[in-house]
Amino acid sequence: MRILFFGRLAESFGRTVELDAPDGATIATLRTLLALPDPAVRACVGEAIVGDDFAPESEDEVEFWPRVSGG
Amino acid sequence: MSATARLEPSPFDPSRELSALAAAAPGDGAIVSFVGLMRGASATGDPLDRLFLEHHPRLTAASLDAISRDALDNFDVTHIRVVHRCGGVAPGEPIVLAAASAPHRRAAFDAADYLMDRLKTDALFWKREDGPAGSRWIEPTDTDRADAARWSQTCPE
Repeated sequence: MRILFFGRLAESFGRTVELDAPDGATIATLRTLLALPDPAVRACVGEAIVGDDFAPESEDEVEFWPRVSGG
Repeated sequence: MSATARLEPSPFDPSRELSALAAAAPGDGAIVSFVGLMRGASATGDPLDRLFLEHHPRLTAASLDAISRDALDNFDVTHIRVVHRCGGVAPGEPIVLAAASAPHRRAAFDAADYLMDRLKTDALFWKREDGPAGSRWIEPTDTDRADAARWSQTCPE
């Protein structure tokens, strides 16, 4: 599964990471694997912010966003 | 009526944007514009070399469009124009232009004020200040959030 990072997270992880996630992995699973417990870090799939229960498909790109700065 | 928002990777000339807005609004009696400039120092007074505005490849432009359309819908204005930089911005360069034209001045003032308050909190950017002392990611301040909240009764979601 492809994971994308923005802002300060991209400095820590790089822009993209290919993650070998288990079948049925949810956003909560990915947070655990990536050590991203901070609820201020939001997950986005497609054009939607998704909750920790969301289970992305293996072909989905999952984005993790730190808190948005505004303009 | 129109709402135009542009994500701009290069320095831009606010006077040209204002001229374009004026040309699109021949029947209006008022144009109000705000230009935000990159300061050469942080909020704590540290010198800065640049501001870096990271954007989302799809959703940042969409957020600018949505804020601009909201201004058009919520005030008695005829045209909205927003230009917002992305990437590296040097001290003194414009970061943002927010402008509104209207038949009368009050709506144009209010729409420009609203645009900036929304942009400061809801535009989809991740901002980093780079300077001799290092780099720092920044977030909206309590003042920014309070400014945006001023419009919650005037412009309910």
